[in-house]
Amino acid sequence: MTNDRLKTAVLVTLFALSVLLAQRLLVDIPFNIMPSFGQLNDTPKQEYDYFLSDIISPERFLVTYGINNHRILYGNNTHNLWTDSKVVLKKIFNKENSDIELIEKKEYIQYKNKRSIVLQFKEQIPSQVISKMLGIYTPSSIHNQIGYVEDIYIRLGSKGLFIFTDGEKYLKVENPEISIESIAKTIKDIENNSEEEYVTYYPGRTMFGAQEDVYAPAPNSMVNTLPDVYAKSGVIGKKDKEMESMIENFFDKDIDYIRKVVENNGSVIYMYDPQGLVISPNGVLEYFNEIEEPVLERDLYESLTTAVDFIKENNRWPTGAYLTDIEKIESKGNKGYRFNITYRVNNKPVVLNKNSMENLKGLKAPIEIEVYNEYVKNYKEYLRDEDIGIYRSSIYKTQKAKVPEDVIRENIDLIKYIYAKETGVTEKEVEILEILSSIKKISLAYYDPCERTKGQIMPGVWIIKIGETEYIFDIQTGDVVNKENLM
Amino acid sequence: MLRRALTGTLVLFIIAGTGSVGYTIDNDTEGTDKNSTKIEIKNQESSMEVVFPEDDFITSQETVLLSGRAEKGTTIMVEVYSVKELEETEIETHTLEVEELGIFNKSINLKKGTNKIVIKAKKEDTVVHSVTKKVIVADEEKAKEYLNKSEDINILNKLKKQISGDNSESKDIDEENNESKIIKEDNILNENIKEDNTESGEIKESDKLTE
Repeated sequence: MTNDRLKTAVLVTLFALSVLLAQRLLVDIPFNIMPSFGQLNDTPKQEYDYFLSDIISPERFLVTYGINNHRILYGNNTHNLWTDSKVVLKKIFNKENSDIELIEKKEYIQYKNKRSIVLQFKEQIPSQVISKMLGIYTPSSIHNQIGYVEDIYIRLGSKGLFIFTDGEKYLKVENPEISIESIAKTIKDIENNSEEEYVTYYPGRTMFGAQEDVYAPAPNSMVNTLPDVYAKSGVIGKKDKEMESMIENFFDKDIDYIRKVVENNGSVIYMYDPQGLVISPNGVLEYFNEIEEPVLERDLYESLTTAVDFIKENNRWPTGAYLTDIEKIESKGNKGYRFNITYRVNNKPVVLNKNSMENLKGLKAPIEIEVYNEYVKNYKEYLRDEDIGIYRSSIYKTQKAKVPEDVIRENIDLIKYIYAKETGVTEKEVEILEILSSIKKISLAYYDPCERTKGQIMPGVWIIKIGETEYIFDIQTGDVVNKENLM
Repeated sequence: MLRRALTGTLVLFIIAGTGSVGYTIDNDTEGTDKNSTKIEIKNQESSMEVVFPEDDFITSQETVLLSGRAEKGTTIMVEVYSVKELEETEIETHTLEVEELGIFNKSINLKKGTNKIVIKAKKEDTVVHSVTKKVIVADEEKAKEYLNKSEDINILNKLKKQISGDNSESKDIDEENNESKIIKEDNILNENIKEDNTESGEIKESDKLTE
């Protein structure tokens, strides 16, 4: 009798188990008793992190071969440097037996003369976000010592030596168990490559007497690798079908359910309460939605992943997109973040004409998204597609590009005038060497004047910050195409 | 007695052979400013200042930045020579005009081995200032050998000082800037910047390394 009961119990258990397992294959049972294989494998999360690590990527890589011998490589994953670096960083965040100490800026600058690579981010990134992006969720001793990271230095010597800095604190982490062989090999290959894009950069400290840590090529040493590109709006001029598909994506509804209003100024508004989408005639796209529940505590990682997910779901990712700015925001008591994201053309970042901000609904970067943890409240974009493959000059590759020294010299009267105003002295009192010593930033980019929806020339530019003013110089003509006082 | 004489001769021989050798190391020195020695003959006051390269700079690259400051309107003439077994072969020459910024920067091509860069500041067709820099191009491994050898030279110099006391040659040497300063002293004493007179010891060293 007891045996029969036992057999019945076993049979019932087996039957129940078979039903539960069968639902994975055949039946869609509405409640989840057991996690699916998909969830166990965590596939969606891995994909998520892949995109997150794309947008939290260095703007450029400073490679040092020795004293006064550097190269600057642009692109989010040029030569797989970011991929290789992530592998190494994951190890350093995971190891608890590393020697960690805070060092002085002077010591860091000395390290920068040694064979090394520095991953330079556009914005200070919380160190916890970097480690979460790498799949490490437990805080390490590195997080305790440095909250934000702007540069990550990797020494290409025999032992693993890293320096994390936010620009003020310099945290040296040493662990000889960590191999950087793969990165060292790539750097060696680049050294042996004499292609035109591998221009030698020298410290501004030597060239100009600059006080900040800036780098520039010597005159006549740089072949122009930044041809002008012709751009058109990423929205205006799209075929009807493409537009419909894009709008349906945003609302996750068939186009027939979405109300459309055309305004007198040419703006087109799409509505499906409470969501809305506005396409301006100049090509700015704006999406807005409401926050369903109050968000009283902001979570950067959650907000960032929500932003990435939103842009991904709506197929709005431009090539080489990366995060350029993080700002805390509040709306009706809700706490969130505003993220600015830019993209790259020919591996160089694209900057917008800041004088056009008003026309571009306040956009500082090609993508701006406001997120309150899991809710996207506002999304704006001003994206471009390449128009046609024509260049302002077909001989650009044989031309020498102007270097920072050239463009500063050609515009020295203007620079002197502005510097005198900034420092409250007369132009006669301003020493040129003093101006040169106040160079704070030198970088390459593409400049979008934001004037046309098609056939817009985007020139390659030098962005140079002197004193408190940021100048944008055309790399071919040397003209100032834009300037902004950052005080 | 014979053994002492032999040892003494050997020590003197070593000192004589290495007394005028100086090294600066590229990749692994602790900074750029400590070896800021320059072989400069100043004919007029500060009409030109060469910021980089420092003298006896060792690099694995066949280009080096020439950087300096001069007054607007100055013409900078640059002559680059490859030095092998006391013979100088001209590699290239450049003429740079110093404009409003009062600076000059030029990427200079070099050859493997010892290179001599002569920088002259000219005003109204008159050379008013001349500076000579020596740059050694060695491959990475050889640069490391230099580093090791320079440590040996340090030991030898210390030994030399201990043996000969505070001799006339090293009297004015700043102890912080050890070997490179010796070259400077030699050059100033001889009032001659020709390498074959003052730097034969080092040329021999570099030739050995590039063999």
